This record gives sequence, structure tokens and C-alpha cells, in this order.
Amino acid sequence: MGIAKQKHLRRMKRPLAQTVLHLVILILLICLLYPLVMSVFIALKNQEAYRSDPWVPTLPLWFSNFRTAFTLVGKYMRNTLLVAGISIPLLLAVASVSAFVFARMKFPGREFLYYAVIALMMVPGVLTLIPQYMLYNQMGLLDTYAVLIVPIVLGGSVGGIFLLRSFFSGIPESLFEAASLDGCTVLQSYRYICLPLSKAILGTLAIQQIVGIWNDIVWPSITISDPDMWTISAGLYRQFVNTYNNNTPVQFAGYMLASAPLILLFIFANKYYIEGLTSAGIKL
Amino acid sequence: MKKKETRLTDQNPSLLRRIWKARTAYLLLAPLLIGLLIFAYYPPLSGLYHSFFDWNVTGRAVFVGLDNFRELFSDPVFLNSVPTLLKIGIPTLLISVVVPLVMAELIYAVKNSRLKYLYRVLVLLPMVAPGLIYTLLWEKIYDPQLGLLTQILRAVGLVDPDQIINWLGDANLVIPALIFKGFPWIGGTAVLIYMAGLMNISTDVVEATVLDGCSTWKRIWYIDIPQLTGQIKYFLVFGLIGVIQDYNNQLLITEGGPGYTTYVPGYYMYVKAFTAGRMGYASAVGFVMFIVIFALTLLIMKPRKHADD
Repeated sequence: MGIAKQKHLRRMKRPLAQTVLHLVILILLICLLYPLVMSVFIALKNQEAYRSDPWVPTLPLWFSNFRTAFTLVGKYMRNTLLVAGISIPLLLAVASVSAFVFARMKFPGREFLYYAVIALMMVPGVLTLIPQYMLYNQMGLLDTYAVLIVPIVLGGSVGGIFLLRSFFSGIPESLFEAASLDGCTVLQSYRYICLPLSKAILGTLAIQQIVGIWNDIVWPSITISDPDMWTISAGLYRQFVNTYNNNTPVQFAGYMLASAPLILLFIFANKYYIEGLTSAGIKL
Repeated sequence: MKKKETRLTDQNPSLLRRIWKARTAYLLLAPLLIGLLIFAYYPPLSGLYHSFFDWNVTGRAVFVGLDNFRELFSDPVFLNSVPTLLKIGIPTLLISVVVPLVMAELIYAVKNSRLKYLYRVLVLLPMVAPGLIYTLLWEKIYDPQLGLLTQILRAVGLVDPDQIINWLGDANLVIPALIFKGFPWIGGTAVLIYMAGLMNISTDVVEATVLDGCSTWKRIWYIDIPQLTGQIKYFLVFGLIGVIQDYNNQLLITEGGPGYTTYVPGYYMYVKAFTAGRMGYASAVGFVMFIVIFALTLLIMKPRKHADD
């Protein structure tokens, strides 16, 4: 009787605890998301509505803000897509092939070379920013797309190899043995075993890098002086915000446009991304 | 003795042969390694070297010995930027390590698996806005007249209706405001990475704690946190490296102001390089920051080495 009562009590307690838990999570999520949701509404206000009620939804919705913002933001988006479209496939190829070599092939100097690559993760940006700028400057690459693409392919590969090598090493040896018995060459086992198994983690890497390209302010704005070549964050910071200095709703419409490709990416890839992050076991 | 020698001479060709046999591996790595040598290994070395030079944008370099460092350590703007970095950086770092862990535990404790997944997606949602937009959004939240923060405080009566608080323009408020920026600090990948760690803890262990009548708090303290040391260390090390170098807020919002109150070393370096064009001097700033980052990283990594030995 006593035990049954205890069990009953515990069962009573549990839903209450869960309700409180959901409430706490919901409050935190609202604090997190409210400003973001409101920025959608700010983008749809005219200036008077913004001045009187900036942080609550108001009617009517002014979609024309988006047209105004698009003239500049569209240009930045095209540049960003161009840079991402070239650099991401290159990066995925370089990183996955190299990680495969480090994970599954045996050769003298393997560990040394691997750590020589990974050590670069520990070199802070403050040490490289200026000499890197001077290197590209002296190579005559400033104001070309190369100055935006090369650092992403190489820099992204370093982190990518770190992420992918441990994943590739975790693929059961028996799969590769079976493949080599069937006459698979080493490269074929990369193509037909590693790649299909690593879709999620390659997606994770691609998303991380795309978000990185989207967010980069300093590098594009110091290496590119032609406003027609700026990528999204640099363009917003160097040109757009100043152009619409007095018109906050148009600014926010521009931010929404700038986020649109990331939103699409998020809708289609969040499952992969979450799966990849979960399986990568990121820790030190 | 003689036997040993012959074996040694045997080993040399065999190493070469092993290298030759593995030529595919080296060939596949070549594009990466050559690229890294030029674009990733050369620049930091060049930066260290040129920190002893007067180096201008055209590339002209004149050796000046330790002058750059002497000037750096006697410039009050730089000397004041260090305590500013500590005041902004330490709370920011602690928040970024602890708060996502708390959030991960909260979501982990949710029983309903569909809601659990939804919460994880929602936490990740702020990623859809580029970080720059988040910063500019917070600038509007801090707007003295129309800002969300002022309006909320007015609504609950903590601020008088016509009282104007210039969060980012007041030397006493700007640093707390920069730390508070990003509240509730749960957006992004950290929560998910912690959750992945929590879900990796074997269910046997968790069930055993339940059978032993272990409270949730005890489980978190004695099982979860020790199991998550790897993740915590990861966020500490990379968070630290990030925080020391970060000057996005200065670049986008405060420009180091009001006055010099929010100058941090990274921003100081940026201004010296790209406003004043003093590449050698700025490289010296980078050199000093690198040494500090390197030393701190070693310091955090060291305790684990002892535990392993």
C-alpha cells in the first residue's frame, strides 16, 4: 500500500515537473526569438509606424521596403552566392580527400603531416590577418574573387579535416576489407564507402562554411574596395547601413533579404545539420 | 654490432620504398599541403618577422628592432584596452560555456521526444540571421529612445517615461550592455553539442542512478558534468581564443567608444593596420596577442595531460 502510494505520488509529481520544465524552456525561447520575430515586423513598417510602435506588429504591411532594399542587397547576395558556389565544392573535395588519406591510408610521416595541418587551428586570426592581407596584396590578388575564395577553401579544409578524419576512422574496418576483396582500389573505397556514409557530416561542414562566408565582415571589407564585389556582411556594413541610415525599416528589410538564403538552407538542411553535429562528438 | 649496421642500411631503402609505395597518398595531399604552406604557414611567420619592422601597405619594410613593442607598451590606449578586454571577455566566456549547458540539460530532461526535437530546432533558429544582423538588431534594442530594453523597463516602471538611457553611449553602461547583448545566450550550436554529449552517456549509467535513488541534481553533478569535460574544455579553449580576438561589437557598434572605453587589443590592432596603415606595428600587436593566447591555451590544456599520465 505504502509503495503503491509512493509510486502514485511520484507519477503525480512528474507531470508537474515536466510542465514547469516546458514553461522555463518556452520563456527562454521567447526571449531568444522575440527580437528576431519582431525584426520581421519592423521590416514591414513605414517610418512613422516604427517611431510610434517599434516592437509590436502594426498594420498596414509595407512590402515596398523590400524592393528598396533589394537594389543593393541583391548585388551582395549574387556575389556571396558566387563565392560560396565556387569555394564550398572545392573545400568539400579537398577536405574529404585529405581526411580520407589521413584516416585510411598508411604512409611514412602521416601523423606528423596530420598534426602539421591541425596545428593551424591553433594559429589565431590576429596573427594572420595582417600578413595575409599583405601576401594577397603583394600577389596582386586584392579586388579579385580569389582573395575571398582561397582562404575559405584552405582555412575551411583545416577544420574540415579535423571533423572528417575522426568520422572516417570510425567507419568499421570490415567494410573496407570487403571492398578490397571485391577488387575496390583505395580511391574507389573513398568514392563508394566513405562518401555515401558521410553525407550528413559533409552537409554540416558545408553549412558551417556557408554561414561563415555569410558572416565574414572584416576580410571582404579590407581586401575588396569595389562595392560591386562585396559579399553580404561586408556590403551591409560598409554601404547599405550608411545608405539607409535614417530608415530603420528598410535596413531591416535588407537584413531579412540577406537572411533568406540561410533560412532556406536551414529549412532543408537542419535535419542533416543536427545529425552531423550530434554524430561528430565535438570535444577536446 | 655488424648485424645492426646492416639492418640500418637496410632500413634506408625500405623507407624510401615505403614512401614510393605510398605515392598516391602524397599526391592526394599535395594540393592541400602546398596551399597551406603558402597561404597558411607563411603569413604567421611573416607577421612575427615583420613585427620588428616599420612595414607599410606598399610592402616597404625598415628594420626598427624592438621599437614597435616599446611604443606598444607605453601607449595608454593599448594598456587600457587590456583591462577592458578582461571586463568584457571573462563574463562573456563564462556565459558562453555555462548557459548552453544549462539549456542542454533542460531540453535533455524533456520526456516528449517530438517537443524535444522542436526545442533543438528552435535553439538553432537564430543561425538563420547572419551574426552581423544580430549585432545590428541589438544596437536597435539598446536605442535610447525606441529601444526594446528601454520600452520594457518603462512598461514595468523601472525607468521613468521621459528618462533617456543611452546604453551604448554611457561610459558606465556600455560594458555591461555589451555583456548582456545576446541574452538569453542559448542560440546556436553549443546547446546541440552539449546535448550530443549527454545522449552519449550510456543509458545503463543513467538508469543505475535512477535505481539508486540519485536525484537529478546529483546525476548532473557527478555523472553529466564529468562526462562532458571534453565539450566544456572545447568551448573554454575555442571560446577563449575567440573572445580575446573578437572586436565585432567595436567595429559595428561602438567604434571603441564612448571615448576609448571599449577599445580591446584586437580592435586596436585593426585600427593601427587598416586606418593608420602601420602594418609592422599592428603585427607587433598581433604577436603579443598570439603569445598570450598560446600561453592561456597551454594553461587550460595542461591539467588534462597530468590526469592522463
